[in-house]
Amino acid sequence: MGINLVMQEYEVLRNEAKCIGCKICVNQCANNVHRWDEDWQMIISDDKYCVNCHRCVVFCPTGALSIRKNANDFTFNANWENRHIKNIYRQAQSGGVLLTGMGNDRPYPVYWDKMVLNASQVTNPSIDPLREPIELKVFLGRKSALNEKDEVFKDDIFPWLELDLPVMFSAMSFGSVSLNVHKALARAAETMGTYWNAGEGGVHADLKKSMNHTIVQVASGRFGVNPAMLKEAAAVEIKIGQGAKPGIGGHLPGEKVGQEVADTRMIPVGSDAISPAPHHDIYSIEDLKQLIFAIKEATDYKKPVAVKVAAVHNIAAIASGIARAGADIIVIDGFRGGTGAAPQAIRDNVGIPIEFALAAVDQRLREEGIRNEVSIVVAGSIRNSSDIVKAVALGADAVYIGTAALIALGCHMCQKCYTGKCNWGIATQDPKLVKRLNPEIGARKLVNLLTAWQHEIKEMLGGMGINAIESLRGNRLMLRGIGLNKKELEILGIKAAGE
Amino acid sequence: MRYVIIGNSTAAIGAVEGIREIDKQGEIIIISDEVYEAYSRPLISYYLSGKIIEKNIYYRDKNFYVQNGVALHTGQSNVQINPETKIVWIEPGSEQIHYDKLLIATGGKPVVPDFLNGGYDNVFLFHSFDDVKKIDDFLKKAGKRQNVAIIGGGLVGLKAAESMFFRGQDVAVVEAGDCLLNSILDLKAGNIVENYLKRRGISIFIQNIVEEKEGEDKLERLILSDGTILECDMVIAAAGIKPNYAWLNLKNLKVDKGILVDEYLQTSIDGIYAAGDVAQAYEIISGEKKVVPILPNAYIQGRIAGANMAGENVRYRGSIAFNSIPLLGLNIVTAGLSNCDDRDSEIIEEFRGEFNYKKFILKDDVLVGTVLIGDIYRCGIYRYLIEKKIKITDFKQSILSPEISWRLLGRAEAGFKGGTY
Amino acid sequence: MKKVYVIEDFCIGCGTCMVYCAAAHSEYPKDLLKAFKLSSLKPVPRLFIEEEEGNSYSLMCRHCDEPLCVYSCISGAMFKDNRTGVVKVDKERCVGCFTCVIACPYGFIREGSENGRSLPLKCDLCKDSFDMPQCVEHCPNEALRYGEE
Repeated sequence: MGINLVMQEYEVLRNEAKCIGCKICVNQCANNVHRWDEDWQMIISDDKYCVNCHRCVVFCPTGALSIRKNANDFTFNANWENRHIKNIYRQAQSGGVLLTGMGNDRPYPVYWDKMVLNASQVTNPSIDPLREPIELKVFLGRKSALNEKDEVFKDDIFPWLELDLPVMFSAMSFGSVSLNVHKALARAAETMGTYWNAGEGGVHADLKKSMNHTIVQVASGRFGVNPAMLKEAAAVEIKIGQGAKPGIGGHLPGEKVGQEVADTRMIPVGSDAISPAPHHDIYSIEDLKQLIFAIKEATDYKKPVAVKVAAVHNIAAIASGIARAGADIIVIDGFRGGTGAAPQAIRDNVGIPIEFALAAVDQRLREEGIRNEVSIVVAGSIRNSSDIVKAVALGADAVYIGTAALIALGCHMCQKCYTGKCNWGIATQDPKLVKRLNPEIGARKLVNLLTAWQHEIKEMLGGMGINAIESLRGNRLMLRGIGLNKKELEILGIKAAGE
Repeated sequence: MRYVIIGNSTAAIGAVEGIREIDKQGEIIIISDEVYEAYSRPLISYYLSGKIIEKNIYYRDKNFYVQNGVALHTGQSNVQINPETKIVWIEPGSEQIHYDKLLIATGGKPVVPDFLNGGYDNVFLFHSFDDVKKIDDFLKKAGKRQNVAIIGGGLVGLKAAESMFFRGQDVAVVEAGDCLLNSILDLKAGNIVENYLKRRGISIFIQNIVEEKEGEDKLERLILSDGTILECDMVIAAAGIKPNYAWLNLKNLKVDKGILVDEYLQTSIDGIYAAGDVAQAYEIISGEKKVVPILPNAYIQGRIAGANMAGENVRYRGSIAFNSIPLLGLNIVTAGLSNCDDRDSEIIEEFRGEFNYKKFILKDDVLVGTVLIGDIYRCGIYRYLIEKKIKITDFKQSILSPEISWRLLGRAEAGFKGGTY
Repeated sequence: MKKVYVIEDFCIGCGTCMVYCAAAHSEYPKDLLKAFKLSSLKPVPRLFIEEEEGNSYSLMCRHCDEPLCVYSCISGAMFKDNRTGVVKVDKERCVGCFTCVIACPYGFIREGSENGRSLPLKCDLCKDSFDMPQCVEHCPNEALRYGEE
């Protein structure tokens, strides 16, 4: 084997004056960092296994633990950053693709943070949401007929998703996350009058009663798809791509496919669940249209069909095609979107920011006069209520949150989802770890988060003198750019601050 | 309704509490040959060694009798009963008392070896509060360290030895059987206890009886079968207990070792119940009626008898023997047939140090007895397994592990609630 | 009566309940650090964590309606409080014979000592120092519930 050249990334600092030897850190670390040593008669920590997930830090009843980044740096070199050197060591050791979890962590510009919102002063009154109602309800789906020639839809009312606030929980499959995550998401979605997306892999039998708040996915592996599920769900989403890993598929390793996952996905226990990179039956907009209408047929035209794509270079043209293929909702997932596992090289280098993608798609659909025929949902690192307001002003109907929801459930963003040893009971199928996430607590936290955001969104809308979120949609006059160049302002379709 | 209880110890108190659960009004009369309110018999050794003050020897609060409406007649040892007419005389010639239900809870009576019957002033029993008060007086008068010979190495004998040791006396225990505590320990476990007590400074003479004695008013010297000459300033007789029913003399009362009772703890005479060390009731492991003279059993039998006297129909599910006897800081816990070493039984045992021993006795994968010396962590579970005759085939191998508990109970009984007798 | 119940699906066996239980019954019931660092005796928890096939359960005295420990107590020190239903030890009267330890069918009474005296240690629902049993109060996964059955 030779020596491992990668130095430990983190150091565990134990304040012995505060450590009471209770061993909670020992039993809480699935990475076996801490252990009780009989000879030393104390707890010994093996730093090299630490992933900085903070489980022990949070659980230590006396606050005796803290984790620090290992201070050992290589000689400064602006070109050869630490991470490049370490990755080379790793790959030279393993010969494999470097895997990672969660979203793109590179310091690309975050355009949400380069846009600011307007507020009413003197010439138009602002609204106090505590005194006057502010409507956050949105309806997702087609608002007008495909075109006059389309007999099928001529006199129909189209199926809509009714959301009490413009936030949904984005697709995370049972397999990539635990059943308790699904339970928490489903309960919170029900309570808040919104929807959660079960991801590719079906819906566990325990969650059947929440199907009217569930969006199910039909993805390239078709896992878990059956007519009953499609009919029971609130909506169906065709997943073409994912922001964290555009152009590549998914791979749930067999060791995560236990009985429950297997039953839900309808595959044998222990078999690898491989979602191919493309849908092998979709090579064109026409093919996509076939699938959309196959699903519509299967659901008696009663369920909206969404198509989810990753934000990539020519997203506007792709979105236009999706709209014309008959999708009710287009979901665009930006390049900072999360994942349970993706090659680091892909996650960090493929795709475009969601802000640009959204602006471009909204603009294009308006120009083509088909914006009303489809709703736009954006995903990929919506971090707070102001991101949502800015997204709506840029043209989104609603947003999906994934990472933010997981953080509310306890995720500490260690990016080790792919190991299956999530200490917070989120990205794991180990029954002992899954138990750590009590879905009742989880649902409560998600409800709290959305309630808090709901209040904040109303405050921001009220401040702009707008009393319904529908009135903000695409209202880019409410946005100004800061520190953006002319081209960026042009793509976003907004003025610079001061203009 | 009038209840008469003869005897005023654990079973009697259990009966009063059992009656009062059901019948708050009925009249309760307790007749006792002792002069005290109910005290805890096992606590006499703690009293003698000075570990507790007199107030705390009493089994219940001072106002127990008043609160429960009990008329207590103490110092009465000539009670007479006529079961045909349901009449009790507290003493011959006294006023007749009609009873509706009668409980005999007269406990046990110490067996005194013949050689000690000679009217010696330095021979004591170790059974009642009065006994230890006499010993206490004797020690106080003697003023100097005494050589104390204890006849009998059973529970009572060793608790007596312990208290005398705590009082700073020179203690020797003479036991006729092949080990100490042989009613509950086998040879191996008995030897551990023997070694421990010897190490602490108590002399032990196993497989010895007193062959000869010397002394006139005082028993001064005992000569044992192995030739040892024991100088003694005091002798304590702790040679055993037998159920105390001989005084009853009722012709229809069925007796064996004790008074035989049915599953409702009623004797062969209608309206007369028996509970505690005097009663011979169902024993679980043997499936036969046995005298199981332990305090918890006395209380539970008393309580059930009381409830049944008050009109309930509570079945007595039987008992097993169990004991916890700390001796000079060494925990000894036993349950079931803990001294059993017959050939059909399987023994799982473990030594973890000189005075740390665990032993499990199984028959057909059912635990029938256990001995724990030293570490007694969660031993109640083993007692429960014995009592419920649970097959432990699946986890027999891990019975020595301390982390076994829930598994045992989980399989023991679906919907296990515990806490029922 | 109100008791502590474990919700088996969410007990993660972390031992936080044990830490707070031990501290709550120590010389410094309200200060974890002092309880473990300054107490003259090592704090001992009254509850037990058992594991079976990857599942864990935090368990403690059931305060039975027919408490065998009370019935078996040789000194009358173990009693069931008529008002609260809590099964408790009167420390002054207890002689430390541990008959209760072997009587309890769950094995929920621990043998222990205090100031050199043997004493059984058991759950008292923290009635002496707190309104809420500390195991319940501090369970990080809300796996312990204090309430009626």
